[in-house]
Amino acid sequence: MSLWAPLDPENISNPYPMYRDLRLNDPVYRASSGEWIITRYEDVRSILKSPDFRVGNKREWMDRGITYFKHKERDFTAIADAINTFILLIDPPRHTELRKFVIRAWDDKEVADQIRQHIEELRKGYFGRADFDFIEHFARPLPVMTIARILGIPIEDCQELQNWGFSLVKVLDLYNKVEDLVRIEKASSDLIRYFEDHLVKLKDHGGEGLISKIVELNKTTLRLSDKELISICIFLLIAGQETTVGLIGTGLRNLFIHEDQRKKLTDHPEIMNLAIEELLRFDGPVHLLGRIAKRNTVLNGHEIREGDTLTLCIASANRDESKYENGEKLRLDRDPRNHLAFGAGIHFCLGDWLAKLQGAMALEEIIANHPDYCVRDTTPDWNNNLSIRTLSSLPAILN
Amino acid sequence: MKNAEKLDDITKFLKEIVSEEIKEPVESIGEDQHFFEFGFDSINSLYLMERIEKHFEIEINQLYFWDYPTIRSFSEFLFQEKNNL
Repeated sequence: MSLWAPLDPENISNPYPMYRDLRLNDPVYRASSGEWIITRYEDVRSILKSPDFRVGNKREWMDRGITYFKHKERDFTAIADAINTFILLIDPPRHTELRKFVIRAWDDKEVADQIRQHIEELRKGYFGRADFDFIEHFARPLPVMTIARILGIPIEDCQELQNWGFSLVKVLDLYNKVEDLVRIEKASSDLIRYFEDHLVKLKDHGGEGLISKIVELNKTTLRLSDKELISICIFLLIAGQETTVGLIGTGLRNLFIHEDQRKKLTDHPEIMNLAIEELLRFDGPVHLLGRIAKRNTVLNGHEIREGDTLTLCIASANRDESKYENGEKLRLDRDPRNHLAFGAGIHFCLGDWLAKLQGAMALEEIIANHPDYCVRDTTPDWNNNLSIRTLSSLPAILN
Repeated sequence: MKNAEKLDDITKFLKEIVSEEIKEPVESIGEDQHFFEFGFDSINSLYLMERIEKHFEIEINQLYFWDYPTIRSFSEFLFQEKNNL
């Protein structure tokens, strides 16, 4: 029987026993499909930091898919256009200049007041609701409101952007079916059209926010095409969206299940920043990342050939007992330094600070005002995405 | 759910869609050849998967082509699924 069965229903609802089996029995596992499954902390970290492995697999796969499906009279070109400048999927030297470019434009990181304001707005909406759901009414709308404010796009567009972003992020999943590609293509087309219009408005009337700064900086630096600028906008919109939903939603679920840990946080709110790191380590949203071997190499005695595909199990690495004592246990008072929830190396997440800030403020809101909150269903459904694992709903009672 | 399927009919359908996709006569499609030997990969197997899902009104995933890598083993798998064995 294959140790790697991520699409089996029991592994979708809880992949951690499968990760543990792999980590203990075959940490560099060759799946029947030929891909390598890497589950130990040290291996995952060293691959993320190594110049011998590259990203870009998904873009290449999409390009081949587009060519193939054109012969079947299906056009998925918009997907390639939407992701063509996703920093996450680009290798140096292009990656280095794009990353520097975005960091330079993103010079305003004072967003705490805005996040607080968004939380207050959401509170008015959900207060007293009988059908309150942590995901639908809190964790899902918050990140898109924040990024919309940062990017300088109207807050009233958030609902649409949230829906499109949710559909598009499926493109980062390990496996996509044709029906997924159809939905991703639709979201890509809608997002491209939205940002095309936004760029036109900026050119005609000017504007504020990160997109406007990117457009200005672009004139004197990289001179990216509109197509590339739009892809960067889409990337910035979605990169921190679903992952932050996961941090807040899964975090609230875990704090409910682990009552002793929740009490620790209620009694000592000053440990919040450490608690966020531990929640990210224990059950962070990013589960899988892909890499391709650039040259022949040996990993723990296994010969990896140039061109081989590797799936790095971030969520497994973060529970590796050889790195973290009792790694399968949530302990908010531990120091989970160097967890891999935001990756490592040159592709380390650009918005880690924003995710952690929003996560901390969102949990503070709930822990301070509703410390005895009650999750109505402790075995809820997970969204259909192995790579970025988030709950589809989390009905709760706010006592 | 569609009605119960016969194993022979399942095999025949799989041979037909493989033959159509690789543009080789159906008689030349061996039941014990691996899908990847026919030239299937992570992209064109998606198309095959879609055809199978629609025809048999069943939900499958990409990894099944590796778990049941030949027309014979895949047919047996589909036969069992469709007949609730």
